[in-house]
Amino acid sequence: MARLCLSIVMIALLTGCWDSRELTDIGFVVAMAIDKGEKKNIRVTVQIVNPINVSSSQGGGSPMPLPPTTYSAEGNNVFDATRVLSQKLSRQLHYGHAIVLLVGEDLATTQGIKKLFDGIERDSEFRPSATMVIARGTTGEEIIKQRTSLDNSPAIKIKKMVAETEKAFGENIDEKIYQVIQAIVSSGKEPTITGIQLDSTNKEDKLMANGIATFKDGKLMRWLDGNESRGFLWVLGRVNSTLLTMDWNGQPHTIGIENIRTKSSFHSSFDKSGKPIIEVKIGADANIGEVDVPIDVTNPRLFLQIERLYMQAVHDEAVATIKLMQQQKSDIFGFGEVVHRDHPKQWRTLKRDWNDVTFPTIEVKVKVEAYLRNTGLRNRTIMESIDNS
Amino acid sequence: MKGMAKDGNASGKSAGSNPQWTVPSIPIDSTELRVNLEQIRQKTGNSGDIIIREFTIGGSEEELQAAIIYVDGIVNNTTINQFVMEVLLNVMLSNEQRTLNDLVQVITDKIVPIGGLKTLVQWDELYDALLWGQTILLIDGSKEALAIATSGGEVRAIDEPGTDTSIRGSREGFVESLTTNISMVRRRIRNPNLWLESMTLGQVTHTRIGIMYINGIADDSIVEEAKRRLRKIKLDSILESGYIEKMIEDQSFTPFPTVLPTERPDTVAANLLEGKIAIMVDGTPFMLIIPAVFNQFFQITEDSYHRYDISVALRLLRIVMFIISMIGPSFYIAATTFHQEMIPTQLVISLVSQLEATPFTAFVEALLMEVIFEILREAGVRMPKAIGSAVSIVGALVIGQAAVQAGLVSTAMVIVVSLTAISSLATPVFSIAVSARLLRFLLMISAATFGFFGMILTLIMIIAHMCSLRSFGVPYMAPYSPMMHVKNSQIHAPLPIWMRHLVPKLMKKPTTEQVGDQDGT
Repeated sequence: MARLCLSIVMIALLTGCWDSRELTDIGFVVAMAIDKGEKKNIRVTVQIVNPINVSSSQGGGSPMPLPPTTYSAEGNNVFDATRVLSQKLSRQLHYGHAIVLLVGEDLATTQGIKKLFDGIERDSEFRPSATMVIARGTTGEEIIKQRTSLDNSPAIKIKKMVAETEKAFGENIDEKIYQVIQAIVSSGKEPTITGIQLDSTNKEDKLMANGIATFKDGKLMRWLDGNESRGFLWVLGRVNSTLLTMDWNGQPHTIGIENIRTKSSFHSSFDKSGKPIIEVKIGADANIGEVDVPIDVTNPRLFLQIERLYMQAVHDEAVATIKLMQQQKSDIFGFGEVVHRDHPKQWRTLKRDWNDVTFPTIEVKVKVEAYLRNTGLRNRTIMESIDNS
Repeated sequence: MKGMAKDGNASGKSAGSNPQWTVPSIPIDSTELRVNLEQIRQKTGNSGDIIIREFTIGGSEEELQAAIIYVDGIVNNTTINQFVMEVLLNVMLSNEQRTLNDLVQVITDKIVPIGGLKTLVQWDELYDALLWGQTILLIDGSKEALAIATSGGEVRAIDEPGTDTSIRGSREGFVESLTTNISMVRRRIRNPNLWLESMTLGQVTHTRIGIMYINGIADDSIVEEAKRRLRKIKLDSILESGYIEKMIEDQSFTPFPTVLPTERPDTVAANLLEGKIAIMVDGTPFMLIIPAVFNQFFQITEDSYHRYDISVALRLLRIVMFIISMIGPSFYIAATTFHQEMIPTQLVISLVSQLEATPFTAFVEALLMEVIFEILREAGVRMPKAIGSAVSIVGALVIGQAAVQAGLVSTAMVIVVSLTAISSLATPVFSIAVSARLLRFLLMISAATFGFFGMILTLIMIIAHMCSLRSFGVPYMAPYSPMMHVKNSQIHAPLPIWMRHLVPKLMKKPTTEQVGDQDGT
């Protein structure tokens, strides 16, 4: 009995606590930016939660937000650079709460992003579910040093902003690290990452999401902007809320259709010459958001006409982006993966030259099935009411 | 019956062999009143509350010497004066009656107008009766003594119970008098099958014990086992039912109670109707209900009085509270010192800023606060009522904003400790709340050494231990382990009253078709 007690005590005293760390001994990294180094290969900047900043903002809040606490270090690779960081810090870095990973555009264009992820994914702390973004036209370091006005730190702002803008605007994509890694690893899909850039028009809070970066062979190739990026999201079925304005009888931008939800599915087949054909089905639900011409939307004939117009508009945007990417020779849609899934045998021969030879020449059929669900709280338009009175 | 790990048997000091403590079971051998009275005076050490009143029983020429003996304070003086003294002083005995050998019999049959009369011939019986508040009548020339039932005296009035309080339902709580307590149960179950067996335990204290069960509903083998264990108890004193509880438990070395104490007659009645057995001890308002399984500590009788839906929700809440009161602080320690990634980001940020100002590690802080709370709690129970407000004022300072402002502890820790404390206090049965109270510290240590891993190991140990426990042969974790199909029982959730049969079948099946047992399986 005494021996048993002794051994239990020894277990607790000798081996216990070895990885216990108090919260105050930890520097919580909330965002990490990877840029091109000046002396060495990689420059890593981390944004760390500064407890003193937080507590001062809790006690009433300072009128001017303090700049986020960041540290930078250079190294041969990402892991190496993070080790160097410890020279500059009183605390052990903890990556469990890193919610944003930024990569500078320069690094993404020249060296590519392929080599960045092994260390991050191998590490047990870093979350693969952190949001991945590209610092557009600047360095990641510059982005995470920005002050933000609504949110505590750039990290929180970027995470929320990217997720929110995909839902509400439909021109950015909320990609997590694991999704980017999956795309890099896959032979039939190229990664796409939202860009974060500095908006010089807003002095207090410069961060804004803009565009989707497309990659080829792990290197940033072209930014998709505006309708191009929305076209991409139509194909993926990831557009939630967005607004399309359409012309009516030659009057430009007079009808606004608010999309509610979209889903899409891909199917692959082969034509007689053995070339893959991709069929993209897009299903969209939408509401009438705004009508600035005097028409009666309760008239089923007109209603269906608007619906057809809407389908055409979605179709055009999707096809335009597909054409564009075929020119760029980068399959960001994952059509290759569909062929892989549906026809694994043929894929073995196709996959070698997929991006460069096959993908640019394949036929992609886009079918849109859209329904207008709702006309909002008004039936007659205001314009119509004015005309009749 | 399986699982009788330990029988209630004699342990510790026993004065049973010491002749000084016991009255030998010898007959009253003298016919002389004077001799007998002298012996009583000597035996009781001339105690002032032993009243000996000598008088003569009325009659013609020769007066008959007699005496009544009673203990002041535990008898009903009115009864003695009116129905014993007055009657005996005024009676006129004929000469024939006076010379009869069975004079005592005559008095019993014709003279004393009181229900409970008993003729005694042994000294030990005499003292027993005397000390139970009966009045002893000794008559010169007779070896027989007459015990007259005159028990009475001041007892506490029936009041609302201090523990086991309820919103709806009976306001009665047990009192210290065994007879009153029995009557309270009897009033709720007016059925001849409600059986009571009495025994006297305690070599020195001679405490009366009552075992109550409903014959036919209670499992006979459990009743027999309970009686067997009670009979084996050899203790000098039994001052509270806790003495009995410890002697009849299956397993003594456990933090979990396997006997359910209650202060409420309606709880006892409800449990008797479920086939349980109640053990009552004179001198305490706490009755013991056996067998008691773990689940039962979260059921309260009031559940049946309220609406079904809210009762189900409340019972779940009680189990959640028990879990919180056990793992609250240890969960906090493990999460903040080992598993920071499990805390939501926003929360970890605000936690870091709070902890920046505090000097201690999470474990020390938690231990400190828990110990302070235990001190407060103990002070709250023990202190004189008049200075009650002082503790609550000071208590709010040591566990509260003042401690945070002084930079001793973090706000988060205050919240964790307070939540744990409230959960612990809200657990309905005190004895199960106490077990969580101690295990909490064990879990805190394991959380501080191994994080969640250590907590899980400790919890596995606790659960394994609970599965090994039995209460009078019934597995403690029944009906979950072993999994039992308990038909029509309200052990999982309080069923609506119309869905219940009278007898749940957790405690083995009733032997024959019983009251309310509709399918007879």
